[in-house]
Amino acid sequence: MQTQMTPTIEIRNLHANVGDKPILKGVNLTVYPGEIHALMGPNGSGKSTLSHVLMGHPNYTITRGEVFFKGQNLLEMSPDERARAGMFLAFQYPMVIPGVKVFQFLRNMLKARKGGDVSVKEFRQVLQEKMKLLNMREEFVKRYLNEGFSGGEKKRHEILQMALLQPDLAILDETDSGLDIDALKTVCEGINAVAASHSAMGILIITHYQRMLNYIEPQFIHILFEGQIVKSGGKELALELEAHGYEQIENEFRAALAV
Amino acid sequence: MSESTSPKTLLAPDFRSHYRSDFLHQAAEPEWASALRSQAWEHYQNLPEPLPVQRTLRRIPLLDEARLNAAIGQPVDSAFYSNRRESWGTLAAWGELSNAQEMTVVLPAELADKGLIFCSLAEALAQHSDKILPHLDHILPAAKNREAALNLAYWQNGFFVYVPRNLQIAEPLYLLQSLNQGQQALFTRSLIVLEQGAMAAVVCDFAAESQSAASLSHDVLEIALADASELKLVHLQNWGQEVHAHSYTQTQLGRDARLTQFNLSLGGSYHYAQSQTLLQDKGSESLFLGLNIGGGQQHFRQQTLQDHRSPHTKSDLVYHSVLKDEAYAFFNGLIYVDPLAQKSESGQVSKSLLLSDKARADAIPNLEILADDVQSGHGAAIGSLDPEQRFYLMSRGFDRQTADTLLVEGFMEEVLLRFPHADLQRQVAAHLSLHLLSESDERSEA
Ligand SMILES: Nc1ncnc2c1ncn2[C@@H]1O[C@H](COP(=O)(O)OP(=O)(O)O)[C@@H](O)[C@H]1O
Ligand SMILES: [Mg+2]
Repeated sequence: MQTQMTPTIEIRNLHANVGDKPILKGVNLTVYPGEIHALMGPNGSGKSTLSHVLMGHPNYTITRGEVFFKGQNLLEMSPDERARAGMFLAFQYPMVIPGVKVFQFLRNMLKARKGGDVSVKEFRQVLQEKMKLLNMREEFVKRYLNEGFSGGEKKRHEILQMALLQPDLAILDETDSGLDIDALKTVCEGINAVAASHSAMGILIITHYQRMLNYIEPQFIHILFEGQIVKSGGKELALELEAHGYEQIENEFRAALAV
Repeated sequence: MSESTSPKTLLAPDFRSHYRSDFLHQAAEPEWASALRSQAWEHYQNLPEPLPVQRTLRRIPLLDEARLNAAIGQPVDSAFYSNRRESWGTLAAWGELSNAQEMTVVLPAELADKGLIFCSLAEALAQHSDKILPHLDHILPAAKNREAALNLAYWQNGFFVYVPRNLQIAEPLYLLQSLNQGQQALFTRSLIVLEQGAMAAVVCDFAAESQSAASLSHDVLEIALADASELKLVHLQNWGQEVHAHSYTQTQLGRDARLTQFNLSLGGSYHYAQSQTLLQDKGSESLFLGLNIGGGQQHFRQQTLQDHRSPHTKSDLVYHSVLKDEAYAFFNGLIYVDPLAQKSESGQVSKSLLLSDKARADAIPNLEILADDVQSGHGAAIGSLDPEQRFYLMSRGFDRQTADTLLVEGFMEEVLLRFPHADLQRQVAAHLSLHLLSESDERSEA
């Protein structure tokens, strides 16, 4: 049914190392425009590594495999080129950058993405609208990048960036962690609103838990285990995980290996 | 004085071992002032030589001091002055000192009428001795400080600023020193006095075009802040790349007085900057901010003292260095808390950002705390740009160079934002951007 469409991202047999240590061991995953996928897995299974590799983090070496982003060879692109092409990563641990004001940062970020100027007036307007969406106060942008932000503020700020950039693929790495239930709801509604206004946006939600998926419904769920996707399915998979934990999958995986 | 003396100066004795009276060509000065000079020379001879510099990763660049000439009495191009001055925005008053000798001061009558004195220190010796005598050589005494003694023996000119009781001036007073000749020994000395409740912002700017031969700039600044007065001081060293600069600032603070001193080292091949604050009376407060921006083989040495002598005194210090090429910065700071200075608070942080493999920095923070009920903290960090921060910025679409620039600017901004004068904050930021811009031009030309 989607054969005529170019996938937003197509990951083929991706292997990646940190130094000599293999972390990703053959990941296959395809996201088409407008699709929402969830990537779940126990701690240390390689979820953040995958997100960093896709964004082009210099610490990882790709040893095998290919990635195509909207048909382009992603692995040849620098992180900033990937961003300007429409890839976005909401970090699990956003960096604190002292002395860089949020307002200037966001405006310059938008300029880089648009490849042209964005007037202060125009920017203020769009910023206000997006901040309202995420229930953020205006003083926020006068602060310095993630400096002294609470866990929840950092995550909201990541999603604010997503809302401004309107990416074609948004990878959300444990955006739910550090959020209380009200904040989680607001942030998820924000994500849904961005998705609604930009229907071609693909989303890859990375999470350890099921709770975020109550607000954002993925069509596909994948389980990452020791650097490989060991199981894929529909949203029932998340409920199954919630009921039985990762052990069952681990056991299945080990049993399969033993055969 | 000029050309004909050059063969002689080759043989001239080192001004540190023999008194070079040719360094002074002042007209008559009051006898007490001359007496101070000879006394200072005595002190200089008698004070022990400083111990050899310890723990330095780089050799201090050599300056052949025996070849230095007396400062020439020649004014600097007025276009240079006006450009430089205008780059600082709206000013309350300004003074310009050329080659340590010639001075022009522009002081609006309205401020003079309110009792503000702004003139050359040489002139003030004769006209305002009553206001000078309590402070000159008292704040940084020649009897105790060898370099201050040398300066007092040789000083040629400098500024005198006197802000009377309760006069508050928001716009900056601008004190510019410049030179337009190489191979000179410039000994300058200034005195700033704020009376009780006075408030002022002062910019001490040292700037010049590069000359072919190195000069020595040896500057002493004494500052007396009476009770409840407040001074916001910018001390910007932006000499040409050949100058060897030594600056000594010492501030004495009365009860509830406040000092913010922002030291910037951008120019010169060598800059030794000593900044000391004496928190003499209860409730006095000082903040030292510092930015060293170095490239090439520039060598900066920052020596600081936060000297707490009374209860409830407060001091803080934030110094950042950004170093490229083979530049070097050394920070050596002491917090001293007297047994009497209970309930005092003090802090000190120095950080260096190394932008090349060959840039180096070193830091020695010292605490000497003799009171028990105090708060004190210090920290030092030396490192290069954080690749994780860079990756974060690049993941938002900033190319690598822009990301790095943002990180460097942010690192400077951390210091800048602490300066409590919005207008000056902006002007200093503009000077920093200009400085970084002109440096990258030089690089691309090379
Ligand atoms: N930069 C790194 N250096 C060393 N090991 C790393 C690095 N990044 C990830 N790893 C290792 O890779 C594995 C996967 O980590 P990560 O991708 O963070 O897992 P997850 O996000 O699923 O919890 C872990 O064993 C982790 O220790
Ligand atoms: Mg993770």
